Amino acid sequence: MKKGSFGHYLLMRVLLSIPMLLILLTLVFVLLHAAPGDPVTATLGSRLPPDQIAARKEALGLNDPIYIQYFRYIGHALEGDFGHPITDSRSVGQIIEDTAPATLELVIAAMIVAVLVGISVGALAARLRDTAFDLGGRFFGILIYATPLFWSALLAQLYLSADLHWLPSSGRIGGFYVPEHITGFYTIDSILTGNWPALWSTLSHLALPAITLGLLVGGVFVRLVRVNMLQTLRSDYIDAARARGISERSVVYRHAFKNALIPVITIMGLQFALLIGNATLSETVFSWPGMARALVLFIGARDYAAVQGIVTFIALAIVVLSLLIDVINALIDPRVRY
Amino acid sequence: MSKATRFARLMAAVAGLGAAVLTPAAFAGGNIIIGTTDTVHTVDPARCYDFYCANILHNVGQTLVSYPPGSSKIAPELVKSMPGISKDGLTYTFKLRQGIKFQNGSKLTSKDVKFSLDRALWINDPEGAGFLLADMKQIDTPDPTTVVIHLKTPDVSFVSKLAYTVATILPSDVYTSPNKPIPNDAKPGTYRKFERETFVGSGPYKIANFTKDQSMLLTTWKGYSGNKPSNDKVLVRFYAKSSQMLVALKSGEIDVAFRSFTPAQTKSLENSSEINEFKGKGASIRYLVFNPNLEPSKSLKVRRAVAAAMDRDRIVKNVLDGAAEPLYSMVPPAFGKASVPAFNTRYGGKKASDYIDHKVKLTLWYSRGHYGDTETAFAQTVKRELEETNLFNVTLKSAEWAQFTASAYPASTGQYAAFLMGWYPDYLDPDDYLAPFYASKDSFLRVYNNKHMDQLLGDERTASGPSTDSRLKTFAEIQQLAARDVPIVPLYVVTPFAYARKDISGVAKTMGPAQIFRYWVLSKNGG
Repeated sequence: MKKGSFGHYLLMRVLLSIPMLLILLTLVFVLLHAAPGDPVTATLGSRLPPDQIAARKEALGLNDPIYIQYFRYIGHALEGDFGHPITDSRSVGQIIEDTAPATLELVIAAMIVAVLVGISVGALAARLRDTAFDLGGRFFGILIYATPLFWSALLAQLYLSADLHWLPSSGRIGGFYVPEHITGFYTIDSILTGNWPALWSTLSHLALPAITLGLLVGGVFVRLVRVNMLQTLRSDYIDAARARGISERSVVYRHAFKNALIPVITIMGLQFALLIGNATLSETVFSWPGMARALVLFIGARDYAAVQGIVTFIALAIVVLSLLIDVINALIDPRVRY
Repeated sequence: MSKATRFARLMAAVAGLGAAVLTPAAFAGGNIIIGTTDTVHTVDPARCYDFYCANILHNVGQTLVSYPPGSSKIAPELVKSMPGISKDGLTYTFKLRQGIKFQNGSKLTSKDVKFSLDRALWINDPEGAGFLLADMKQIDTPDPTTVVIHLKTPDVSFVSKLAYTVATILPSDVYTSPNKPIPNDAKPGTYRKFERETFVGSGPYKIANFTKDQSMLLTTWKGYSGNKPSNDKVLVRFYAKSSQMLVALKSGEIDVAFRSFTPAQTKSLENSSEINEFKGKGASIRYLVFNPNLEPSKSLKVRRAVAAAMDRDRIVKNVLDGAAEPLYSMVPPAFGKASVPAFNTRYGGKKASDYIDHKVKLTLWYSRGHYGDTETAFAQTVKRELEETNLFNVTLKSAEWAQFTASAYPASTGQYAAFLMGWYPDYLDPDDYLAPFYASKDSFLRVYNNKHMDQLLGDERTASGPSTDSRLKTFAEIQQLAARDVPIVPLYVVTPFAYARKDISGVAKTMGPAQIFRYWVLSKNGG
């Protein structure tokens, strides 16, 4: 395989992902096992006598040497078996299957908000440089990024739900309208089944969490798009385009804008990871029944088997995502491969 | 009109239309929506052991006996009358009511009763409450309407254990069961393969839809053998935080909120013009435990000094804003004569200085978060009360729950000399507030070892009836002995609250001592 080719680059990135994955899995294992106590005692300690607790620990292999537990965990994770919680009869895989669509639906909706707000405000601020709009846009970008998510979410709930009664304060859908399960994405399932009340209910419930989460990331995009647009607008080829007599509007939106978006795509991938992280807060504040909320509930229940499984899955998802970003970048910008 | 103005007008129109269409009121109906911060992990009676899954099962299933709304007296549910009990207290004979059907259409017979009780016991899910049926030796079904249960040892609280949801009667043609008890050291898959994610029973509601941590939709079941529910549908919504439930209740997204608001949130609803408050009888208790193997808890005088120093009224007022009652025995006052305020009798009016005359260093452990937002304030108040005697120097330490449980008990391996704990009953009998704490072998804490106490606990379990004078006398003796030796100091019992919007009726009927929130008594005026 020729050095510098796309195939070579892809192979190298996949190979590099393996140690990254092992380091991540090891970190998850070490951090959870470094915490004092064990999941059986934490979950059942106030219910069962000590001899039964000991029997349950033995059954789950918690008395095995730590290195055996580690290799068992790595082996299962690589086989795609994320384990079985103590407090839930579903496997972690099933829990992920049940809750991941909710998290993805929220993250995608938030990303749409972020992109719409971030790119439009950023691009416009660059075009109207040093005007009141530019100043306002920059201030908005900094302010929205610096505002804690839980605070903006609570404010939105208080004003838009409790006071104005415009939008539902929490939840994913009005429970009387749950659409038939096809994909697990309520918006898609509602459309596929023609269940319009469910669609409206889904959108109304999605509005507050998606906007508050999306604006957070939108703040990053505003600043990034603005800076990139300004740099691109100073490029030689833009001067050449202007010299050819192309209209300013066409120069900005047809020539400069597209090139200014390349770094944004890289950041967009990384922001997905950030959004999944922030979904923990957003799902808790809005009682959104996604993977992050399940994780918080399992942490609360001290169900470390479930916590380990879900964290491992999220870690794997982020490794795959970063691999994908690199691949897309290499496709868009061939310079990355060298 | 400029493009910008047209765009702004268009956006305003879309926003207005969206607001009109998406308003929660647009989705409101005549059905009841209940909010809770609890979760439901399972709807299988063999696995269910939490408050809220049990509450759901009470609404969708039935047991042989149960508690009618507003009553603490157990009554027949699936049976014609209370069981006949043999003289030796080892055999219980039940006669089933006829014509009862399950939600799948099959007929409920004695075979289903035997199947359900054996199943719950044999699955032996450590998360479940199968152990409550551990005294059962054998179940006979001489005919389709007769069930004879033989016990290994007499247990007067056995009938009240049958009212708990672990004894929910299930259709044997739907559920599966092991054919013998699964051992304690079995891997989770061994018992979980018999558990179901969906429920079929004989109660007033069917579970139409259940999305974990989101909502559960219950619809009335037309074949129910009892009175028709006062509503058509009940939607239970699960909230991650009580603050969200408060917003939802105030904005009318939910009709009823049951379990749980913080004391401050409870206070904020006190004088609401739109929301009614309903107070129940407390069953959840808080207490302080001593490990008698460790200093300074080894000393009886020190334990008594702590008991004398506790001002429970102050804890209730300052920490819980009055959302609790002082507790002077492990048995809460809701149990009437069975509850004897022995700590008040023995230590009321006494001071710590009546027991010790030198300063004692004590480390008090608590688990922040596990028992709610007020735990740190609770621990600090206990510390303050002890230090105000000028006889204690208290160091507060908190541990995450997993570490806490591993380090606190049992006493033989425990590393904490004193720690704060809580308890919610499995079944409504004073025995459930005494044996788990004071029995030398069966207790999970194992902080008390007294043969006389073991004898008394055996006596109350083998009494001729649950409320006989001799049993009440034994309860009194147990509580007095516990107050004398102070292995544990009872502190307060949490008062349950429910909140409903003004157009909801029936809540008061179900806030009785049985701790069952019955959805079928709720109705919406004009709904």
